[in-house]
Amino acid sequence: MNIGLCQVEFAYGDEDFRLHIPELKLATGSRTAFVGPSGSGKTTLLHLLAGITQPQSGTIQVGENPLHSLSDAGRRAFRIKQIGFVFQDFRLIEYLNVLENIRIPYRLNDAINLTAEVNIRLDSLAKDLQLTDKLDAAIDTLSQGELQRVAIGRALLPQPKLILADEPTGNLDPSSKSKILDLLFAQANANHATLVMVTHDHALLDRFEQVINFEEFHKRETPYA
Amino acid sequence: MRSLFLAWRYLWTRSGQSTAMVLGVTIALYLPMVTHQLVDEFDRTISARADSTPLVIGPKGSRFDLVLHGLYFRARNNGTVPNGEYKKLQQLEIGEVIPLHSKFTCQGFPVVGTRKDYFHFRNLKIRQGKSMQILGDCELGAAVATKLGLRPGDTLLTDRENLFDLAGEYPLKLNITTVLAPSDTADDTAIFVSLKTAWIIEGIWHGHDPSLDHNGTSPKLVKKHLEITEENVDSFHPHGDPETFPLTAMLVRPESKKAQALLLAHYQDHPSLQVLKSPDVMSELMYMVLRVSDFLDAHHSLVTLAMGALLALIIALTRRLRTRELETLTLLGCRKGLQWTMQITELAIVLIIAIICAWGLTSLTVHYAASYVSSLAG
Repeated sequence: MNIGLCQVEFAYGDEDFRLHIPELKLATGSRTAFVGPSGSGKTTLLHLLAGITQPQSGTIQVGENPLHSLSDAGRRAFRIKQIGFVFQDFRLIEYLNVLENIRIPYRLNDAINLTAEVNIRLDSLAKDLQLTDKLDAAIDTLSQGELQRVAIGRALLPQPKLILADEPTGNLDPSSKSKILDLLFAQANANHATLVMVTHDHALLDRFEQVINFEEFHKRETPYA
Repeated sequence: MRSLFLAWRYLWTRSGQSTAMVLGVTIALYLPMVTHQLVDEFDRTISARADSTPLVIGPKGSRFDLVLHGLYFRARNNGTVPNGEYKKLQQLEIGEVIPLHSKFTCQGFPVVGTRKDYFHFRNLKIRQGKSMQILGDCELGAAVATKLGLRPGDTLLTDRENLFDLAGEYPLKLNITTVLAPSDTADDTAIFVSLKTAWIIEGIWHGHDPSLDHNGTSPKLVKKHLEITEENVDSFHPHGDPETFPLTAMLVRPESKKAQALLLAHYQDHPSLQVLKSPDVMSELMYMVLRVSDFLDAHHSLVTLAMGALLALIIALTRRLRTRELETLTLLGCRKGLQWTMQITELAIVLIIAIICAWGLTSLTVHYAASYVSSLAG
């Protein structure tokens, strides 16, 4: 899934944060890392690419979808069908067990339907994520690593064409980091998906084809300058 | 249906909170439902009893007292109906006329003097024993027999009206010949005797017991009660004119509307007696009961309103606590409105379960309370 951003401007209402991206292109199937200091807009850009937030100006084209002009309902349907989002803080639903959390995208929007094929895929994915014996477990009984894997499972099950991962290895030990990254890359390759990952871990950067430093996009307005 | 899964899982996981909500709503619904059902049952039963007793004749005075006395043997009349009036109505052949004499009690249950026609009039069946034959025999209502643990062959004493009236009537030992089948009416809580037996209790009929002097008092100063036996039964006889012997009411089922109209006209200007249409009087009484029911309705509405406000507060607080969860659903791409649908579905599930529980509880209560209500109003 090709991604193209042109003259994108975004700012939060009452803060002096401002993101300006003159141009950004990501090729289908590419692996891109976003790096930069905290508050530089990496997560904001992931939200823009997912259609969670809208730019004040500019265009965002993700595949065939002009996100800047899609309606809210359109962007929700786009997100559930095309985006696999791994959140930094997992954002799992506490009252659902592991299986239900992984399968939840199919309960949220009519744009995708839970079929027998999805369930077969879920079994295979659970095996890859080493969660087979945890599927009935309650969320509050899992370790950090297991929570991370459940969040990744939820993002990958609908076979998204764009995987957005916000520091998915942040809380993991080096061995687990490598495994999670292998898994994300393998799933992205299997589905010809584009992978965009925010990371602070420079040791991982050589595994990405493209690294974008957010220092160049981030503008902090200084009224006395 | 997508929201149903999430709503159900949420309620299931938060089972303590869900149970509390269901319980609160159940109680708020149960109270008005059960009140209405019981009042309806009361109304139905009371109407059936009144409809089967179209007219009650008795002394002038409180209309409610007379009808309650005629139908339920409750309330006492100020005055009596002379037995001659009953004879007169019988000769007119206007329909079924049943005399009643209900002044005394046995262990708190009313002793009703009447004729055998009453049992046919009320369609009362015998469960145990055989009909009363001689003076001093009695037939027990089913509830009396159960509560006092009595059966045919047993005896019981009438209550003394005034403990300190040593010169007054003595309690009479009644011989139980019959236990009537339950009818879920006031007849279950009555003890039936013949009119003559009732008059013996009142002291109008006398017997000559060798142990008593001619006034029925004991030469040994203390005589605990009167007893009618095979030896002394033939010695009982009336004192005075039988036409003047007292009845407390008469029940009339006229054979036609014309007969009813004639009877109403006959008693319209009677100096000491009145004839009342039981259904009309009981309707008036029910109107008052329904006014009380309306007051309860208002009270229940307030309870329901308070419960609704509490539910709204719980939902509002829960929504605040669930901000992050609901935000996550949006981030994942849930369809627009799903969050609201989900919470409305949760509320609907709570309400449906509460309605089912309230309905079940009401049905159980009505089932078990129906015979009690019937015994009160039947």
